Amino acid sequence: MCEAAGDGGGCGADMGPARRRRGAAQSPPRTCMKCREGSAALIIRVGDPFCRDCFREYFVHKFRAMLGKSRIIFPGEKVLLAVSGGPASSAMLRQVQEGLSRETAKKLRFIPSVIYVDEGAVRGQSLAQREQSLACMETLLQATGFPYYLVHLEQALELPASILQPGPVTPSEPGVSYKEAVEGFIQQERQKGNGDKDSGTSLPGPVSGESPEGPPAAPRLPPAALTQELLKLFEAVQTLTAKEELLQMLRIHLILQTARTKGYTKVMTGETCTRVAVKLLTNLALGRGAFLAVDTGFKDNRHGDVMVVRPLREYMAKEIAFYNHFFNVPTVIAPPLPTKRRDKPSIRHVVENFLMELQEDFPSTISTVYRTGEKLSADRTKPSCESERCLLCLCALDLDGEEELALEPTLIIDDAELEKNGCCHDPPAAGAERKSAYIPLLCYGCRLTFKELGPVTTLPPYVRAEAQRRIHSVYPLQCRDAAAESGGSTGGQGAWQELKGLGTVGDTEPPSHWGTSGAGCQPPMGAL
Amino acid sequence: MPPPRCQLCPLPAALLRPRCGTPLCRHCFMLRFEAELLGSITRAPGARGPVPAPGSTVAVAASGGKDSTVLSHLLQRFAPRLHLRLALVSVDEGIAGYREAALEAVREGRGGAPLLVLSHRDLFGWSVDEVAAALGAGSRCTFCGVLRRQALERAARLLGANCIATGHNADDIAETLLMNFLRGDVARLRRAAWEGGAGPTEGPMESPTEGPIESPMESPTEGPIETGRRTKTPMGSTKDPMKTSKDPIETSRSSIGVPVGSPTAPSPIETSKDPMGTTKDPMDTTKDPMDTSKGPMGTTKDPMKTPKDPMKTPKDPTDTSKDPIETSRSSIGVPVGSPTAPSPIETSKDPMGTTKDPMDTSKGPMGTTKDPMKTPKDPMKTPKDPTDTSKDPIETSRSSIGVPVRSPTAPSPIETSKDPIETCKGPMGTSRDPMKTPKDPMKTPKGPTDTPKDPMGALLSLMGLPPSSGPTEATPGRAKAPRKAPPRPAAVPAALPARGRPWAPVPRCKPLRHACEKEIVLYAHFRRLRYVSAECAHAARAFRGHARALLKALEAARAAAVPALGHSGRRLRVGGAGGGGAWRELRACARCGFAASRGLCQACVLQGALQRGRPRLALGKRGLEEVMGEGGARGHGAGVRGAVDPRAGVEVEVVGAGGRSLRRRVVGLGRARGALNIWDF
Repeated sequence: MCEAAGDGGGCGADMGPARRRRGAAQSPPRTCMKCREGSAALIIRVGDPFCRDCFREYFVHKFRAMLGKSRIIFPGEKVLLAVSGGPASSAMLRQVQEGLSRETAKKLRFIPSVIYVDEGAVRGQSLAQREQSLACMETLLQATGFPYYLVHLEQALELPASILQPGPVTPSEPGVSYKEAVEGFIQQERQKGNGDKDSGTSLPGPVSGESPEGPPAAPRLPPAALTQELLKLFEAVQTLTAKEELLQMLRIHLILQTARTKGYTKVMTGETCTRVAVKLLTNLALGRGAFLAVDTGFKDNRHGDVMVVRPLREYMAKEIAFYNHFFNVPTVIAPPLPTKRRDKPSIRHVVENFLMELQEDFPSTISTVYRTGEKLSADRTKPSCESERCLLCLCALDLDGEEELALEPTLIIDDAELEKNGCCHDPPAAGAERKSAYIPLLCYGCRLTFKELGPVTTLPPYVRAEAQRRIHSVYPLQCRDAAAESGGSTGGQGAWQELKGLGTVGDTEPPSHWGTSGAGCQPPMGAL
Repeated sequence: MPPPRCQLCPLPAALLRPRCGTPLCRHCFMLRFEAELLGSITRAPGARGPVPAPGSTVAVAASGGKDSTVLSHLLQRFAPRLHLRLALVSVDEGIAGYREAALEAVREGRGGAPLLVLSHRDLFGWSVDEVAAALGAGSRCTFCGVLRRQALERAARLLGANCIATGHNADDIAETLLMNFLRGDVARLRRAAWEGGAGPTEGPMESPTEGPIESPMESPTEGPIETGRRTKTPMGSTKDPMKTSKDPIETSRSSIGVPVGSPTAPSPIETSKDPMGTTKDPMDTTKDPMDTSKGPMGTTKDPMKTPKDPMKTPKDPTDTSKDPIETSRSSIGVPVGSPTAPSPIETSKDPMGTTKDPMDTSKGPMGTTKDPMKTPKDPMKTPKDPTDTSKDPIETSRSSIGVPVRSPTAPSPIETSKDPIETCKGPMGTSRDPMKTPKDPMKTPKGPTDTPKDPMGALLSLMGLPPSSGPTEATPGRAKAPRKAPPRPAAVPAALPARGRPWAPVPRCKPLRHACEKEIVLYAHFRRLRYVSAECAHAARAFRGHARALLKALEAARAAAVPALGHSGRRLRVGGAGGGGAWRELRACARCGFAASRGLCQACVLQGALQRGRPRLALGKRGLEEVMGEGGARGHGAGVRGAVDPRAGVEVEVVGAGGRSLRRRVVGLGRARGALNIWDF
């Protein structure tokens, strides 16, 4: 039947594909399109069968090419690999491992470490489960031979407020071009002698940041009080969408903090092409259109001193899955965020489901979205001064020149009611800790998310501290007035005490710089 | 749990606004909705995008659906206040079972505005159903959409409208963004971002209407265009808005009047300078169109510059009515080349320079002063209604005199676009504070006795418009004022673009761009507006359906996702690659003369492909070559069904303001002849 239609149709254009398809159906063991010898193990795209070895070559080459052509990672640079245990980041880890074990000419020349953020608390895992997955992860990381850090999401509550400020631009590349740096590095290596080849890079043994301090087993988990804090923070969030955003923010801040304190200048994350496409559409719907390029691009340098790099951007989820499958890359699966209200999925879920469905009918959907994202430029997303920077995402505020009506969704309504109550005079501190006071500090997308977060008192202390500092530096007069009226002279330490008294902060010591950042304007927090 | 209270009054709320969750009662909602629409078609603080200037003519695209019904209802309510002249335009795509009822609804519910109905069948020779039959399984929505846009454009030209108002709402815009992203349509993403105004420029289309911006703005920093040009703009822009407020178009005209040697892009700038005198005219005209007394004043100034070209001076006298300018021109028999599109912008700039420079320089040759004198006479001759005739006389005079007129429009749209944008930005920044004020008026409705007018008045006053004191409030006034200004634009079509130059596209505005679909439906419901909601039989095949499905799901997950998508779309930074970094210079379509980015406009490509019996061809990249390859064999299609000779004229249905309906054959529709006066029917 098909043949009759194909032959009789007389439409030349249709014949080619039809024949090919038929051919594919008739000869199950196809040969690899690359070496033309081995039998194909998988079909990457329509009509591209690869054998196992060629697929491996292809996969490895893609990774190295991505790093090579971008010329971002300098030889000898310390790089932190953010590994979640999922397929993509595990594949990334394996790639780095293989790259480092190669002969010198083709060796990757950076110094990797691994960081794993344990999010079990908010993912609804019991203590035992968390222990288990931590142990699992640890053995897995130990096997790599890289130094590693195990971090708990709870530690985000102890972050310093400086994490919300871009660090000083890296001194690592003071005018040295990439090429010079590479040549210099190679010469250095040669001079160092041929004896100890692997001295610098692959220290076998877990030089972990955490494990030496904490004895094994139980105490490795953070104190229960902190966990409670964290849970309170997440439970106060009204929507799943905002929860996911919050989790993502805390995670990246934790990683960032580790990178800063341990002297890493690059962070690698394992976002695949599929993930990038989902994120593109998700962020569009979140109102982050201005920052798409920064949020999903190969490099993200909004933090100044630490750059986030996404080397897996060109891999489809399918390729990753097959790679892991063929080459036995171990993964650890973490449960998703628990959803209690099934009728309101998060925006990311909606987009993901939609894209996967559309991908079935239109196989180029994801790559099209990805490529559209590639056309976006990141210029002018860098803020020129603090007042133009979003408090949470550190991007340049995208609200200038927007129509009033367009901004309406981002405003907090109960504002009006609060003002009716007597503005900021009666409760002098209300002005400082009202949710609406945060709004001017945020970009459009973060405003929408922030609206769905819980009351201010549940927010992580570092966010509140930084917000206080910003609010008071923007309105120094108001700040002073309010402080004078309240009469409460709470310094930076005082603020910490206040927060602690309110049960928002665990029993940890305030970060050392807390006093300096908070003390400047004496945030009046009496009336929380 | 009791229902929440209305945020503005003690009544129980009737709805939560999807955009921001505010509870409002029915009454407050309607007032607020109306005030918001009013704000979006006037220069509310922070408003951007094209805005119909007071006194201009607006063609309202009316499909009979909810959006356009609400839009035309509201516009008709506000038209007297804003001194707008409205006409509804409907397009009959020829989809059985879909369009008939809607058209009937438009006819019945059109209020006092006249209606013009065009059909695809008459305009292009193919109804969508026929296209569908020819296409088989292909996407007919592409055909339908492209042709409909072209039909609207032609209708606007025919009516002499300065602006096309469409009923796109926030959902439509979000949906379009998603669709373009899913399809990877980078060019459209970029255009949407620019039109949204967040980008460096606004669409060139809109520039002409931008004149009226009121606050002098910041320097243009962002535009892709070199600063050299732009630096001038801010200056000009500041002033222009004030004076030229009414019709940038007119300014463009005036510039048209100037004999220009080179219509190319760079030249416009220079031309703009020369025509200094001309630029001023519009200024004066806008302010005191009526007083001839001023006319001389203007003339005196103009002459200063014009000494070289007496021709230009005649324009000044135009105070009486712009047409006279042309009439004078025609009488003088000057061959006029008119750079239409570019000129508006530059003209806007020029005013600044003109005002100062001209003054100082020579006081004006006698000859120039005289010309104005004569011109007033011309209008006298022309006729009965000095006001309306304005258009006709021009053409008549021209035609009779046989003056060759050329107007190179295309080259500068880009530049034009930028100026307006920057100008708008200024206001935005400054306007923040004022932003709040507009709300107050909104809240005023709380009073038990609120009249819908209060907010409007407040808004208007904010915008610096005289709420009612306008010269045209009274019936006689009304007759005059709207006419004077609008005739100008109306006359635009009269000026034939130079060969190879297109008509400047009529700016489109979307007054409902921030209104959620739900709110529109609710408003229509509360106001008991009748509209037709029918699903087009062909819609199921459109790719847009996927985007719509996604949008609905997103909206369910978070209501604010819709406005957030709109925001994202306006803020996208589309890089230089893919589709060129800037607007492509618009050319004239070789067949219909309308703006096209390639040799033929897309509508003509589709049409040509249909005629050749290979409609799918037009959807691909080779469509243009195929159709062009057919060459000038325009007559070739004559025998083929569906071929419409663009010169032959087209039958349109006109329903006048009085309610009379008739079919009328318009020759050269959209080509030249221009204004069809359907207001006097």
